[in-house]
Amino acid sequence: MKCGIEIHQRICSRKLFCDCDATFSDNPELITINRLLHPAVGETGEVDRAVAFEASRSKVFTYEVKDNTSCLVETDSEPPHEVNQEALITALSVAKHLKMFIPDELHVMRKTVIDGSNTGGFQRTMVVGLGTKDSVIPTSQGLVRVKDLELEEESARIVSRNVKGTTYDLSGLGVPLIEIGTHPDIKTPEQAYEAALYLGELLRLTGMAQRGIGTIRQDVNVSVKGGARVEIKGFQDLKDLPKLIRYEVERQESLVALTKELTGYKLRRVNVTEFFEKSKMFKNKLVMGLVLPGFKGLLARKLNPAKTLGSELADYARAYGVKGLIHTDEDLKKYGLVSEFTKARNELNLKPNDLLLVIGGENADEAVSAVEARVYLLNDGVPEETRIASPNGTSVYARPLPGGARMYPETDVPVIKPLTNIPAIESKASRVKELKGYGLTKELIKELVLSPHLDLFRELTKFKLKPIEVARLLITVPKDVKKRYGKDVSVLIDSQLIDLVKLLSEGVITKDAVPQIMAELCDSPELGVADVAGKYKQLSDPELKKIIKKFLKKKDLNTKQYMGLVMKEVRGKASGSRVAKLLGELK
Amino acid sequence: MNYSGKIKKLLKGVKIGDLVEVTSHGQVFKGDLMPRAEARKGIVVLKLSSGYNIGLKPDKVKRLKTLRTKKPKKLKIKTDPEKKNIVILGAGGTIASKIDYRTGAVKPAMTPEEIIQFTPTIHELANIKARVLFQMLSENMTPKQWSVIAEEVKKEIIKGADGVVIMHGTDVMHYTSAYLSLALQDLGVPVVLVGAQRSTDRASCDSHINLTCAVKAACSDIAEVMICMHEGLSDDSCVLHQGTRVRKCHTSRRDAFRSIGVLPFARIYYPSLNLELLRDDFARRDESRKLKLKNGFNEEVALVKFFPGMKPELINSLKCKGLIIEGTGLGHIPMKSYGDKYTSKNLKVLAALKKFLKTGIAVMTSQTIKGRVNMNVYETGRDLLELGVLGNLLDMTPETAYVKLVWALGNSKNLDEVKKLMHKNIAGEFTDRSEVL
Repeated sequence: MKCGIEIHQRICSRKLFCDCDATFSDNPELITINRLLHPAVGETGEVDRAVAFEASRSKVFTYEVKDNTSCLVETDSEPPHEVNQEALITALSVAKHLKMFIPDELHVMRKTVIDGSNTGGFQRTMVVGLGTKDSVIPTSQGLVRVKDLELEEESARIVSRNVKGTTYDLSGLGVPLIEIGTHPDIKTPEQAYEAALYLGELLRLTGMAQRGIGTIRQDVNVSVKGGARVEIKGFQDLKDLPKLIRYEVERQESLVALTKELTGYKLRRVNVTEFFEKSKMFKNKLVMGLVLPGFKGLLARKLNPAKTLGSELADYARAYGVKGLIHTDEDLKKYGLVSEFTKARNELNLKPNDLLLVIGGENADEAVSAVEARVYLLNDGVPEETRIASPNGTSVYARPLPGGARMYPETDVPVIKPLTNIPAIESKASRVKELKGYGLTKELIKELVLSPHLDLFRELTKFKLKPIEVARLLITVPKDVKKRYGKDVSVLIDSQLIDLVKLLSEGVITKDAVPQIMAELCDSPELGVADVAGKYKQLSDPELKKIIKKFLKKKDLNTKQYMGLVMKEVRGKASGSRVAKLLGELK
Repeated sequence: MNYSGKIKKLLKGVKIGDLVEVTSHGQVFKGDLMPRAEARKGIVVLKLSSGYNIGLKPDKVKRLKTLRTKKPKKLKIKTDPEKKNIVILGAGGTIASKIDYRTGAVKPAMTPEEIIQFTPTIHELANIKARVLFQMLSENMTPKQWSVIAEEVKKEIIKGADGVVIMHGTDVMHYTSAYLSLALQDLGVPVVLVGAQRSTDRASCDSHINLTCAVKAACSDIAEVMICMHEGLSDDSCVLHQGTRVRKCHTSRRDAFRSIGVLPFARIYYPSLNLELLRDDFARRDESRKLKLKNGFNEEVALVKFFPGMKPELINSLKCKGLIIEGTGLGHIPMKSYGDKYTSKNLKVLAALKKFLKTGIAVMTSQTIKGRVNMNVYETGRDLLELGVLGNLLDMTPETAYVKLVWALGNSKNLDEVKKLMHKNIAGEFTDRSEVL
């Protein structure tokens, strides 16, 4: 097999071509906009095949506009602003780290995409680095060459889809993405995993990588001998990668093997509505059928452990908005369609070896055409296409592979002269060494070394607090707050954390109080850290003594029990050691 | 080829589009040579096989393969006697441009084949004939271009057009529409100006919908000069604005054009193309009505926005016959002194205006855009009326007032007659009643 990978990492700057928040928002939409897309014919009269495919099923696109994550730029009602410098510098630093060639001028391009995921009908993208002979990823199974690095816009996320059209959420459109592609040097699924891991880690070392589900994606290009280049997109857990590649290799090999079995066949397309009109499933629906002569048993054949030829063909039908297809290799009882199929077979004079498949619904005609075209392609082995990874390890057909005919210059953005004095990315090794010097534990170092908070950590060590306490505050305490209070502290901003460490180092609050203060700050972002912390201010010795004396009135308890009672009352306002000391004095 | 100097020498014998090998910084790159859009010297632009363009400082360029140009296919267009004959005139702007997808260069697209190829739906609505008048960004237009368009529209109507569509840049489309409204009198068929706010290369371009609706409007019974553009941010309708009562009110939105103080004549839904009338005070289609063209213009008119702290020199420097004042509020200018050295300069503004009015005509409009001028309310206004400033109780937009004065001065040498014309409603440039919209 031959395999190359592409990594896409979202960057935590503002959006690439406007000043909106670069996050996917879960807030409700403020307004919606309805749009249509018309594929433009290039000067050569050529429409890209991926573009033509999307146009053939083009419908109304509805866009949800939300909060401060989208503006007129995302709605394609205002030209792009200038490229975000933070994102550009990050991309350049990664390219430099990978010893790539950085062009003297960067040209922003429009890549035609008309599935509606980009309001303009194109995605903005630019080459920032080209691989040189020194641009390689080391793996245990040899070097993998890096091909190119692009900085581009994230597309909008689908909210819902039906036969009338698709609804998209504009909040994620235009989030900066760094894409790194490799040459097809990868020879095993495990090597692909290693290479992807390496690139993912490198991107995190920039400190500018967004974290969380969906913020990093890997695409793979796979082909086997006799097969064709197939691009698989949309899987998020890197651990799935080896399985996905294995399954794709099997799928391609099965398709290649199938070609050798097939002899010439002619398909017959028939309108079978009349045979199905009484059934519950297809009542008042158009039902189209396709006769596959001599195909009996073939559609039940497994292409890989998670996919039969029948389910493969159904994917093509579904691309046109129908629910799927039903064929005579299946158990028709579960659909309650036994008599309908028998009738249809008889009326159509099918031979015992012939297979009948049917598709019902508004787009049944287009869907049957797509399946018909795909069955004829079985003669050629594997078609070049883009597929979407599915959770069971295989993938489903999405669209044909785009050609080169869909890229042209973005004339609204001036050509960019890249900075030459780009800061290099610190290596992991030098960071580990530095963190060891702070006396941190192995576990803390492991997390902090790739954390976007590394710079904040360095800043916070200027205060009088022990570095290990600072590291815990950034790494361990947030997990604790999540567990104890169910709050996500990632909403806290750097200045709040700085204030917190300042109060800690001045002894105004104790570390015991920090989780509670953090949780309260998550709930009330309008409050200042000092306001919240005020509630957890350290008790003075006389105040503390008064409380201890109150509990000492209870007789016959041991020291541990007294400690427990007092701590329950003063947690966060006095440290355990102070309580123990005063308790000893008073007892 | 837009390369110069050293690079031009390096590229000797190479044409745009040729496959070349460029050596730069010790690396070798292969790609198609692209033209330069920007003037930064010492750089060549290559299109790599991936489709991406990059800019390189070249040390050496070697030609590998020469570009072969394909001839574009010609479309055959059939005419249908049942359909209306609509003429599309190209006057430039975004809507009449197309992009070279390889190079990114924007070129005029003006053969009927190209227009129909862009928007095949229009051919289903009508028999389309198209020709170019000129290719220019609309901000460069002058009253001369307005008069050329008016003349050509007249020619087409005489030749039997059932409606005329003018593809126009959007920046000053409302000036042209105001002029055509005044110049094309007793119009018997629709004249529709149309533009696009997003470039035609993109699949989301508004030109398809705007042009389709404009052709539909040209087939309609509304025999007026109109602007047809998007109604909102969505692609579900366009509206037909009255040519004298419309203004571009946004730099980039699809619905940049807004009717001022009136409703649009009609709304056209897309893609159904159902036309919904919003008003009934328009001239009906009547092909037998005889068109009168009043096509004179006089460019000696200025449109000046008055602002706080304005200096009298600005007025004194005007060398023209007509002045449209974009005044404040109900129709005021800074003209009163409050005894300090700053406001006392306002008196000089007044003196300058007085001097201007000895030989010229001044018409008041308001920079509030919406609402009616009323110079009776404050002393400032009354003083201006006394000086002979025109425009009282009118609600012309400043742009329409400007166009009207250019037109009026072009059609009469007699200043008193021009003054009367300015207060005569020719083409709905002002309303009598301020409707509560």
